Amino acid sequence: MKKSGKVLFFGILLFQTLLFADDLSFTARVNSQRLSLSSYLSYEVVISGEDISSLPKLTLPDFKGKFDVISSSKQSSFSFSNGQVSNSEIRKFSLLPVKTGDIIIGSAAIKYKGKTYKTNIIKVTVMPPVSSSAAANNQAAAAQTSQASKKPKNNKQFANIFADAKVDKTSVYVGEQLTFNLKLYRRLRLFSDIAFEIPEFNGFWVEPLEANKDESLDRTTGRRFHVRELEKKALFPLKPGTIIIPKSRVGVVINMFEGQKLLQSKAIKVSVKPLPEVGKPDGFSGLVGEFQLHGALSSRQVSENNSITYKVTLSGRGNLRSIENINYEKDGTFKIYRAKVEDKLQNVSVISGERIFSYIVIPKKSGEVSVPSFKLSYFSPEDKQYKVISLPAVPIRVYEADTTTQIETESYLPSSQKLAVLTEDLQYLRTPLDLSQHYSALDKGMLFMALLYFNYLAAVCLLLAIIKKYYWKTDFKALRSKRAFESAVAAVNALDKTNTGHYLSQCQTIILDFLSDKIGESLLGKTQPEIKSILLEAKVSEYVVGQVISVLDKLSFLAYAPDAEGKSQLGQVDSEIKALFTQLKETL
Amino acid sequence: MIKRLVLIVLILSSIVWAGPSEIAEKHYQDKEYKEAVTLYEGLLRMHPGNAGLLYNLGNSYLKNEQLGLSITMYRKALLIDPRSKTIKTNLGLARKLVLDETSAAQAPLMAWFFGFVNTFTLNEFYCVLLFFVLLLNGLLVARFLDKKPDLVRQCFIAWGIGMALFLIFFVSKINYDSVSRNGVLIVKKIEVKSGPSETLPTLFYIHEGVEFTLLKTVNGWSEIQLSNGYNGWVLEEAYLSI
Repeated sequence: MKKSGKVLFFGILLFQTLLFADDLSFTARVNSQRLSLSSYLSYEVVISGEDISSLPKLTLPDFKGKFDVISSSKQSSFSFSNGQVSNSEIRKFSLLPVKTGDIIIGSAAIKYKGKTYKTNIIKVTVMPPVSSSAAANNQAAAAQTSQASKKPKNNKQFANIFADAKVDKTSVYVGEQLTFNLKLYRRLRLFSDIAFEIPEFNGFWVEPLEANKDESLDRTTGRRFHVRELEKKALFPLKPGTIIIPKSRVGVVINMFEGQKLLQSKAIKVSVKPLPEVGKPDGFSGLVGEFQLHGALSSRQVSENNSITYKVTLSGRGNLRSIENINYEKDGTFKIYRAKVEDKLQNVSVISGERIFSYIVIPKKSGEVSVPSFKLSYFSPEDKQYKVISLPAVPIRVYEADTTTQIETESYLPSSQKLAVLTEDLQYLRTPLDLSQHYSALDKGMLFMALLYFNYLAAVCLLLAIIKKYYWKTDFKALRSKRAFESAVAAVNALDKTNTGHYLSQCQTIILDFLSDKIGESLLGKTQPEIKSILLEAKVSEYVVGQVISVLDKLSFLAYAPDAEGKSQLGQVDSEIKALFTQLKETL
Repeated sequence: MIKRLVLIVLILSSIVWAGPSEIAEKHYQDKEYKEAVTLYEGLLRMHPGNAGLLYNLGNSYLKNEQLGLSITMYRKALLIDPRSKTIKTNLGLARKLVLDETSAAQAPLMAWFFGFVNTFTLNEFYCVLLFFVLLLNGLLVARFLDKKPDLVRQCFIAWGIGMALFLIFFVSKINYDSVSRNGVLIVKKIEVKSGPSETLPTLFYIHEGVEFTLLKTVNGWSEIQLSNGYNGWVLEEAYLSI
């Protein structure tokens, strides 16, 4: 029963895996469910799944009468975990509420592989705006009262340490940058690091700026303070009216007995003026600041339907990032696509730098044509007027589609560098096929292996023959030479001394055998002068050679002497022969 | 059964009017890759070990979107004809279509070494071995006859160095071709398990055309190792060994 239960469980798991193998995860979320009428809501739709490369169009919930869609963006990510690929795509929408109260954001929907997916419904509460001037005054006053009411309590310490938040301008146009700065002033030594919290800048587009984290000395208040810049932000107001930047909070520990003290800066009131309606150009981009336009075309010659790249650089200071496209005059001569946008921005005290737009320009007509003029309008807060900047139309030459050779001959590059692979395809079949060609492994073939082994065998045989010819012979001589002394002594001891004649003749033979073994050459049958000569050639000293000849002479003499005399000298001969062997053993 | 009959009819008809390889080529040209595959498969059964046939079948498989089989055929063809640029080019193109990136970076020296070893067939190595043995016999005869002993001695030294180097390449080649078994995945996608059972956890997925080394086989499951070092178990039916 247990076993069948397990099988059923794994079966369900497997079924679920198969069923949802190609499924999407499709959800929606917001950054906050409570917001004021003047603040922005970030609404995100997250789509994730194994293969989301070709998603159809997303159907958004109906925002009409609830929110204005201010901007949208797309973000993709890819992850590979435990061998499984997961892709996700986040579609982000910045929404500005148009009414107060509870608002229901309906479901976003998408159709994928014949199935419709819907996101969850989200409820948000929009509260009345807090940016009325009365409210601002109240809050600012409240901030001061709060500071004042706390002063007597910690007067001594708080006079020596305080947080100060400031903006460089309190009256700006919509879209004009103002810089927020939070600083800590202190005359006391701090016990630990500083913790701080800046408010949400509702009603502003916020860009980070680099705060100077080094401490400096300040005497503007009449007393010397160490000042540290804690946070710096570039703020771009999004709509006219009065906006209150709430208090910032800074936590410090002055000494270990009192714990953390909370310092609060004052709330800041900013007055945002609307952009003037007078002189507002058609299709105003919304840019506020000071800007210039530059353009660079990758080539002035191109064949019809081929592309060139047009880099349009918007440089200056202001809300550069708020612009996604630059307008151009459309006609049927070109198809123009925006390829990418690249930012080279500096964020020290103002947002400045370059935003580079790359456009792919594809001519649809041949001849002498002009890449259209790109135009952009912005509002200059310094001059308090709108300005229009533009790039002039750029003339180019477009060749007909089939005249690429003409372009090649006109170009300065040698034609060999112009070769380019248009498409990759397989190398063609082998034809005609020679079916008689057949690969058979040689190591599986009898004939080849027999030939190989025969040659191995031949090599072994040859090796043995060489060893026998050169090395065995030498070894045998050496062996005989090594054992000559023991063999000769043993042979002499084994002789029968009762038969004098036989004994003496055998002694001569043993001596000659011993000498033959030692010098590696047979001396049997040689005459005495020959023996003498051979021994001398073998580098035996003349003295020893003389001894050998003397013993041999003596043995010959005794062999012919009367039997009684021979017998009487046998003992002496025996010892002389053994002494000679010992002498020769040391010499040879 | 019907497939076999079609094959027999195709081959017989091809014998009457044209060679089967010509008909297969015609199908290939007409983008009838399925028919080309059927004919080349039949021809391969009759002529196994023909590099041209393996290559043409690899092409037909690839055009017929059978990536794993195509890579298998190209690799088999390369064992027979390792210096063929066309086989190498098409194998490279086929490998580009494999979804999974499994290759690990190899040290340049090792890459050169195995590249060099695989430039030759095992048969060519055996021929060189025979040449070395014949050379040895010639030198031994010269030594036995005591002809030009100094020259013979120098030749023996050269032979010894050459033979030592050759043996390194030869043993590596035998190990690469004969001892280590390789496989290519022929199914679209498969779960690689932690052991030889369907119930064990899935470690990762691999897709058609992935090449790997086969370590062992147990109960219809094979342990595989990818070139990036990942190990796991797949069903035997999911791959073809080379």
